[in-house]
Amino acid sequence: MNDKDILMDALKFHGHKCWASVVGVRAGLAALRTLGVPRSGGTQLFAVVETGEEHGGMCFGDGVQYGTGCTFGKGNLSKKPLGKLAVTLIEKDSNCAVRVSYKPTLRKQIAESAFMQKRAAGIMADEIPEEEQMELVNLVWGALEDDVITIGEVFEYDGNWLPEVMGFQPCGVCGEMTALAYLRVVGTKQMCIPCSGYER
Amino acid sequence: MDTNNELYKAGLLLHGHKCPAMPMGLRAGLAALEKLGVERAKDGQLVALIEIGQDHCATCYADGIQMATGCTFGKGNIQKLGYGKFALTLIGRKSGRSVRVVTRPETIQKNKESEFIGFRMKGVPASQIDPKLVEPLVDYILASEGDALFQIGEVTETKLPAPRPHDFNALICESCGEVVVESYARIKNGKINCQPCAERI
Repeated sequence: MNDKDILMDALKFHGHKCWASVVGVRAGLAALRTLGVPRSGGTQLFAVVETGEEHGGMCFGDGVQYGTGCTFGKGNLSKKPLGKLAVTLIEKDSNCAVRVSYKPTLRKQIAESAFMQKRAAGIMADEIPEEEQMELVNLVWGALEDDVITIGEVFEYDGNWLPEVMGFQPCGVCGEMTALAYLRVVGTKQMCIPCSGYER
Repeated sequence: MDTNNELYKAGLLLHGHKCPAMPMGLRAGLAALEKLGVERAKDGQLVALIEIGQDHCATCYADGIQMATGCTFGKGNIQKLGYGKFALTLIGRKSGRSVRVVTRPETIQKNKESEFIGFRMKGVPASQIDPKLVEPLVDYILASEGDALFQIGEVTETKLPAPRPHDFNALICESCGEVVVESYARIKNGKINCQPCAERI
């Protein structure tokens, strides 16, 4: 699959077209290339993104997810909420890692685009006309890599990787299946967290 | 639904390997959308609360939920509750209408008896198991009726806290030159810094 196809599939997954998802895809693909590793079909790679909550540009995380194959579901994607558009990609076997961050060269052009003016005025991204969405996507996708991201040096990550705990058991109270590590004990019964009354 | 379904294929591309849990999330997400009578969230129209935790089997479920509902990690409208359970509560942001869809124990039991899970229990990652062993499990999940796989709750009202308006102000850290969202920036010695720089200098 070529990179533009990956981008378009990523945007479809994301649900709307925006500049930050494009930066995320570019950052993710650049990180894979720098480490010399393929997209993570399983959990061979781990990504730490630095976006936070409730701010512009968070969509970066979906670009990284799609680009690197480090996904929310597989659990090899985490947030270190610093309000920054940056990702550290780690190959778990070797702990080889690279950090790729957004470079604001196009900042003014992005901010002045019709799309961003409307977003800042509180309009949902998917309510903005398609051509205005694509105008911004093409600006960020077509720019030189050096104008969009900064690729750091490869370094050794201090990784502490936990193994999976397999298996389930029905909760002794509600009967719903619960992963073994999440069962709690109350008296003689084993139960899920909500039934146990414990917070976690 | 079968493996030629466009949404399944898109889910597989996102997810990266064949397993029964991703399609299980896909079907759960679709069941919830249908029950609420709403469309996939292009933006933050829906919120998904899922009860899985970390580092346990079949968390791949969440990628199916992301693909089906459009509630994604990047958009920030999906959250793990950390109960180690295969349940989804999908909520309409404006209406507050919500539904909880929980996977029936029999659905999970069926997977448990398979040769595929035999390998998984021995610690073999899903991406390294012969796809032929997983295909019957995927077919079963895709072909079954939603009611057979899940217990689909009644539509109820869930009150979410009012969303904070998104912060669109970005600053440049005066130490490293990287962009930092205003509400995450810190002042150190009178200068604007991102948090790592503020702690370092």
